[in-house]
Amino acid sequence: MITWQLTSTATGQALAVAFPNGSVVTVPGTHPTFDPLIRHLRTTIDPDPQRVRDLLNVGATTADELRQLSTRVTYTGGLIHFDGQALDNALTRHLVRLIRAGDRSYGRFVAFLENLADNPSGRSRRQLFTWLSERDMTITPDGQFIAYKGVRDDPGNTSIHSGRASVDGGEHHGHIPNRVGSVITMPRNQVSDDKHMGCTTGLHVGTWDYANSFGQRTLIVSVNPRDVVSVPKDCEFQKLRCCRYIVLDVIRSPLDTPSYDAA
Amino acid sequence: MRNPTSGVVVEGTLRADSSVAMSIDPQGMAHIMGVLTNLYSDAPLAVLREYSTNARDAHQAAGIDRPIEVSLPTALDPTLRVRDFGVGLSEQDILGVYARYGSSTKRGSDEQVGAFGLGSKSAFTLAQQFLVTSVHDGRCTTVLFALGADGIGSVSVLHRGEAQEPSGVQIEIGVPQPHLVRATAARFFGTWPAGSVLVDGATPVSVRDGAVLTCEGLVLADPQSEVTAEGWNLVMGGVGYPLPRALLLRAVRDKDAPEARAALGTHGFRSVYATVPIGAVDITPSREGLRDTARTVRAVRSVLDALPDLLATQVQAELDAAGTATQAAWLLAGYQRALDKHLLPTARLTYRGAPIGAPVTVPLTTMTLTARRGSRGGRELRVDDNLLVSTANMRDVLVVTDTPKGAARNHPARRYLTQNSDGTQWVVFTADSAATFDWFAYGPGSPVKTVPYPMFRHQIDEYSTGTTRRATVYRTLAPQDGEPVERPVPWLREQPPPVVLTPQFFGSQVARQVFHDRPMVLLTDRQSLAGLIRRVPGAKDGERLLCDGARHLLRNLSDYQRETLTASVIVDRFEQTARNIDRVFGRRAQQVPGMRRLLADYQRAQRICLDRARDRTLLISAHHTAGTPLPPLRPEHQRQLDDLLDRAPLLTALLRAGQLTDDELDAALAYLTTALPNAA
Repeated sequence: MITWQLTSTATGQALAVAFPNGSVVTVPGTHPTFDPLIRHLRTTIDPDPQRVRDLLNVGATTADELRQLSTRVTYTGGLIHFDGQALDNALTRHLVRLIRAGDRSYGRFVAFLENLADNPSGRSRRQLFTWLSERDMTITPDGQFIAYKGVRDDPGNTSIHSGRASVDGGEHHGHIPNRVGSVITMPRNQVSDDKHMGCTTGLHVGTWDYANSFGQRTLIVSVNPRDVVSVPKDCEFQKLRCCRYIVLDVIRSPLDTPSYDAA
Repeated sequence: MRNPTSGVVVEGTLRADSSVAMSIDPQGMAHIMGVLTNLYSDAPLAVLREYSTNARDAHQAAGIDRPIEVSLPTALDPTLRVRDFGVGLSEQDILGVYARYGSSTKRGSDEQVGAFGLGSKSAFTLAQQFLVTSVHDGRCTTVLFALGADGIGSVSVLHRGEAQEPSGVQIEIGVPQPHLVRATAARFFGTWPAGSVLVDGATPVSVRDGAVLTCEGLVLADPQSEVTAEGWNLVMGGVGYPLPRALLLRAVRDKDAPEARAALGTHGFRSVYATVPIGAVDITPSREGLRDTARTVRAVRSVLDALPDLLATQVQAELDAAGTATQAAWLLAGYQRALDKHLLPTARLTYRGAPIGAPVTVPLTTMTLTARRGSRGGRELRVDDNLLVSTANMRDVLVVTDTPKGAARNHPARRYLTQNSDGTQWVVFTADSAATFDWFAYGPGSPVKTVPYPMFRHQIDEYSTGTTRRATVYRTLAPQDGEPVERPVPWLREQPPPVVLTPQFFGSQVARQVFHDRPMVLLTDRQSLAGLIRRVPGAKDGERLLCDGARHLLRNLSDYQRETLTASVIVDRFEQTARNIDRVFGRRAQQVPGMRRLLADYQRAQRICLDRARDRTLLISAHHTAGTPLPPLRPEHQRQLDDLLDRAPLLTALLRAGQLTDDELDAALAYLTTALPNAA
């Protein structure tokens, strides 16, 4: 029979679980499945060893679920790899957030990884991780991530700065309209990939704080990680330059869920 | 390691009325334990250091050669595991060592690092529990150490049984913030000797990797490396301790200090790792830093005094291994830049027995001009028949080859030396095209610059105004280039007239297409179009030309290009809706002929876009440059698509709705496709 001991102090918790075969495991209170584990142990007279093992080995079980969706996922040394490369901390943190929230929408996470792998620039990918490392990420069903854009308060949600971009396939000069549902694009080679340049060519999106303070109205947009070009150093890495985004909605408060579905 | 408070000898005639040994109040035990547990300022480092050095000590004691194994915690598996393959501990030993503060098996030995009897409990600084599993004499024992309600730790023996694994001890600690431990581990294991540890199954990156110089007991590390620390570090038993500047200076200041030691105090290096024997220096009980004691200062002094010989021996070995004298000189020049002259006296070093730094006289058949700073800051020019040159200044020599008989030398050389700011001190003229002096190894990799006479004269002409100190170069992209190249004015003059473009268009695909026969120029902030036109007649502002070129390109599209553009428009407009249709209706959508055709059109357009990504980018870029809208779709196609897109919000509502019945799906599909031909 499984026995366990929970130690709680003002600074944290730790749980030790002893299995019938003599093996013992200790995990900290920050373990992704700590809460369901404790719930199961407390509410079950004779806890199921396999269920407890699955909860403890959440990395392996999650990787198994991801592998069902993509053969490009592997799990070694406690790290999930995609195409043989360990996931960045920011992505692992998102996965832990999904696990904690009991959100099993791994399809969109895998779609995000596949989209990310399509980004032709390693430097752009690394800069995206810098942007994501400071904040929680929200992903759409087709593997795009959510960003925010500050615009002018007019019917067309036009951009603050003027420039050239393609809106739903049509070329626009001047203040770019950002109507809900529009796809805004510009050729990738015209988007500056220099992170040292703060204000230069490219489609700019940012964090909630940045966008909300920048524009009169704040839009929620989805950006394909494939289309990310650079993250400027100014404004504490809050901005992001891309070559394509889709306007999803006008919002008044930031999203705090790991997943987003269109309203 | 020997305890610094051991070996106390008491002698004298003092008599007291009563004498009592000092002790710890049993009531204050929890408090004392708390103090001893929380004496670390860097908890992840303390835990890694204590348990991994314990593991290494176990190998040392058992005479085992294999590395210890460390498995770092991750966000998904947040448990740190340290495993050694020593003789293991019996249950009694585990309880004796891990359950008692101050208990250590290593006191009095300089072979092993531990001594204080505190480190084995350091896990409590990070976690509320830790596990010790030991295999000893074929028996396996698992013990859980946990903080108790009274503030004093509790010990529970959870398992005793026959062992299936090799003997040794494994420590497991559930770590609340695994990323901190991972980041610390990268730097901590950087000082460990090769082959002594495997981290996550691999050899960790070492401070020796990419080092400027590595020799026995000393590493001048690469300060840019992720695993190195700035300044001086003493390595004892594989563990690196930062040497505080104040302690270094105390070790340096000594009235009899040799010159080299004094130089270290003022110059030093950016990242140094010097190994000292275990027990040579005193460390704090937390083992986080060095104690400023006379013994530590003595040890640092002996390291500093031994350093010049160590360096000289190592550098000499590397010089002798060099392929040529020039390579040796070049190698030495690198070390001279990195090391203070008192630490590395060049005069002692040779290349296979021949002095390197000694000046060498090169007999010249032609004159040499020397530029030196005069007392008033101007340059003095001198004509020499012989060139006295040492390897240390070989980089300052410009050899002009192929000098024709009777060619003007004095004047152009004077102008070159006066106006050139690249540091050249000598200009040597020679009629040979492949002159070889003893120290000058011509060819790739040679530190000596050589230039044929015609090119030298050409370069001199560039200084015609007498005010520019550097030849003007422009960032240029010519048809034959893959990447932009800095090019001088004469080169541009020999090409078709260049065009100036802004960063937005410079090097873009459409610009390469339009200007396929002339170079593009990107001006810097300090350069102007007028300046370029003055230097290169015929140069033009390219933006207007590019716009015209893009329009011309779009007016003369081939059917292939037109098809690519149409496909691009379809994909951009329909992409999201097509995905949503697929997600909501799946195969069902294929059963409606109108929808099937529309989806087939989209998939075909998508394939075209993928196959012709380059053409697509070019054409969109051309439209963007020309400022013209993308071409519209065929009217009937446009109407169908618009109708479908008007109804597309239904799809997002359906996606949100979740599981739908077949009837609901059919109804939704019918609504979505009413405008399409053959909808039924």
